[in-house]
Amino acid sequence: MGEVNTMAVKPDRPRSIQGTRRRHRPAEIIVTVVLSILALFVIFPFVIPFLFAAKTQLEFAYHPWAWPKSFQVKNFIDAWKAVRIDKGLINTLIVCIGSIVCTIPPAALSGYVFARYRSRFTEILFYLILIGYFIPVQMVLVPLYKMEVATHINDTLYGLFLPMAAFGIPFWTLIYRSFFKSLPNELAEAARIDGAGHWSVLFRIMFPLAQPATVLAVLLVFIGAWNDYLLSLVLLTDQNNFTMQLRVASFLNAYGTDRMPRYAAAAIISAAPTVILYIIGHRGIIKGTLAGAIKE
Amino acid sequence: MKKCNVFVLLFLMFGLIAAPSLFAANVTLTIWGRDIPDDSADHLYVRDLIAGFQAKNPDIKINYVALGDPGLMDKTKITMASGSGLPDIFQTWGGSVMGGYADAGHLLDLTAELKSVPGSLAAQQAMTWKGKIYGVAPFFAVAGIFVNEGIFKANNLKVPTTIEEFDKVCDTLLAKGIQPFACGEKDKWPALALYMYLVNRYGGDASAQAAARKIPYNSEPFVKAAQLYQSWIKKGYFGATPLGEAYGDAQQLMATGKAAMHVTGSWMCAQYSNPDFTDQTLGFYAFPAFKSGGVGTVYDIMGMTDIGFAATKAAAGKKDAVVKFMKYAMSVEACQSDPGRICSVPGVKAKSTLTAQASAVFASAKTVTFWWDQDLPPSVTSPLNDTIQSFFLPETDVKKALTAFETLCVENIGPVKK
Repeated sequence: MGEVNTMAVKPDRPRSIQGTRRRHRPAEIIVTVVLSILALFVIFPFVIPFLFAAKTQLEFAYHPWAWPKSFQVKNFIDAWKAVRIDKGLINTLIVCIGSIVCTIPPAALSGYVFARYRSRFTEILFYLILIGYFIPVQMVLVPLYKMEVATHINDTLYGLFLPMAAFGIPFWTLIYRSFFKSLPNELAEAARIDGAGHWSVLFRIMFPLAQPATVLAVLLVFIGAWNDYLLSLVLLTDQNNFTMQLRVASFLNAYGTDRMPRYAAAAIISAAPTVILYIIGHRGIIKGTLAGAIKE
Repeated sequence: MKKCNVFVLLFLMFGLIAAPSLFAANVTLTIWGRDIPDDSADHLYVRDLIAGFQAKNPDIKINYVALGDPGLMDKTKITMASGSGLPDIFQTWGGSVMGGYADAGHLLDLTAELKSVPGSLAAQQAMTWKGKIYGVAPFFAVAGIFVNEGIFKANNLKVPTTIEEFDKVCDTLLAKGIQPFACGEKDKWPALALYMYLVNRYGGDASAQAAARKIPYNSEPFVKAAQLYQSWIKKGYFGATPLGEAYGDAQQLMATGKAAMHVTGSWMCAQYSNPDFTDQTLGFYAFPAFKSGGVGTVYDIMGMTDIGFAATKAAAGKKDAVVKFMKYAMSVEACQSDPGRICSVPGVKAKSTLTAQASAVFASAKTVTFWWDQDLPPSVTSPLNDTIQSFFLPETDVKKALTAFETLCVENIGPVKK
């Protein structure tokens, strides 16, 4: 029971830490082992495609789980050429940016109004908007396609990101509304006392405070638009307008899993941008998610 | 004279400037296809078809959109349902799926134009719905048995010539630690070909009769075939975990010599002949019949379109261009670039031994039954594959499973006519 004494000795901090470690070592080892196993479950799916993509078809057939004998760059070259990543990348970026621009400002503004200017009318309006969140995309594909053909916006990139925004606005309105509701009202009142108008309160006080929610929205809308397949498949026809996901899916569908090394190479190419974006922005995603959760 | 030269020069200059616009494509055909037109062996036909047609017809521009599968099927379904934004031509296997689009009035009747195009009768039938021809099928696929010749030779085995011989062959293979059949039943549809053959061998045209609602799907040939299928599954002829193997896994088992037989479509000929895909020697054989007590014969073949094209009403204003394309798709020149498929056009030589063997099986066919999951109404095709998949569970009572499927057919297709 000497550990209790070491905890009590304040000046000898390193020793106390050592003492704590000694006391918890078996538990820590078990936790570390369990967490490492769990981490493997997450890491393994990321490693597998590299293991497969580096092999020839025959090498993969005989030894799918073995370390590759040599690195087959050809699989990546074939996948890259077929996917035509250059064109797909530009189209996808346009769709992602368009989707962000058309989703976040309307959602933020409406979320702010529904949080701060509450009345029976705004409540009804809010729930009307929220209905959109419960309508699955698949249910409206045929009328949406008909509408786009009738308005001549099918097979255009804005004809793709506008519906994406329409499907995204209800959800992000809900998020912004709960976020703005969680901000103390005193901040807005203090600003008003200092002479700020509605717009000044919104743009100089509230929106800067909503930065975590906005970072989260930008990243998730971007990732959602990047990963979209169904809407792109239905609404785009000209191969020049095809997004990355559509190109990769066409490639994967044309080759199938019977050519796993090339399939894996294409999967790596398609996943790389979102993985990189997540690595760069994961702090923002966690911060934004927690900010909303804690203040709620 | 000088003046004359100047005029000639001016005329030539004008001609050079105006030529591109005069000879520019004035018709564009939008084609939705499955394959990417690249240099992969099984994409060569599509690649050369587009390039060849374009070179021969500079006035017709081809806008080919590769969508893969299920991308092509999904996009086609939605555009056909909306009735707008249709392509001019789309790739299809024909059958009831294409028939549904024809019934909805979205397809272009090309009977008069394509009736006399040389090709196999089965291929033409696949692209025909209610007496009208809507397209062409330059390539046809038939199901048969891919056999690993090396394994059979090493174990002193002969390829079964009757269904009764399968048990002996499979037991010998199992004893040697070799999986008798590769299947890929995780994907559901791969088990259909063998079941179709067994039903035919027990009951002849039972499937056609059931589809025409003359007999139910739980009648004797269907039940007997399911019972035999399940007995083979229970004996381990399809491996220890057949439901855990996808179609790609089944191909790998054959490619590495871990399985000895694969009952599947001839579309695998290109890959099973490709040294980059497999180092085994494979052969293709017709599925045998019963020595005694059966109805169907070795000449009753299961199969359907491998590559087919149909035209839509969107192309009504450019029918000539569509017909030109369809006829070129059925030409020897276009078809000869494909290395592995069975060509339905006379005069195209098979490029591999496997394709030649599969072509011989197709040529010997007296009847061709189309894939049930492509030929029956779409409302019952998924449940059909689910029912066949349930045979792979040892506790499944196949008669009950088929009765449940028959009940569904009564609701969707109608009751058996007495």
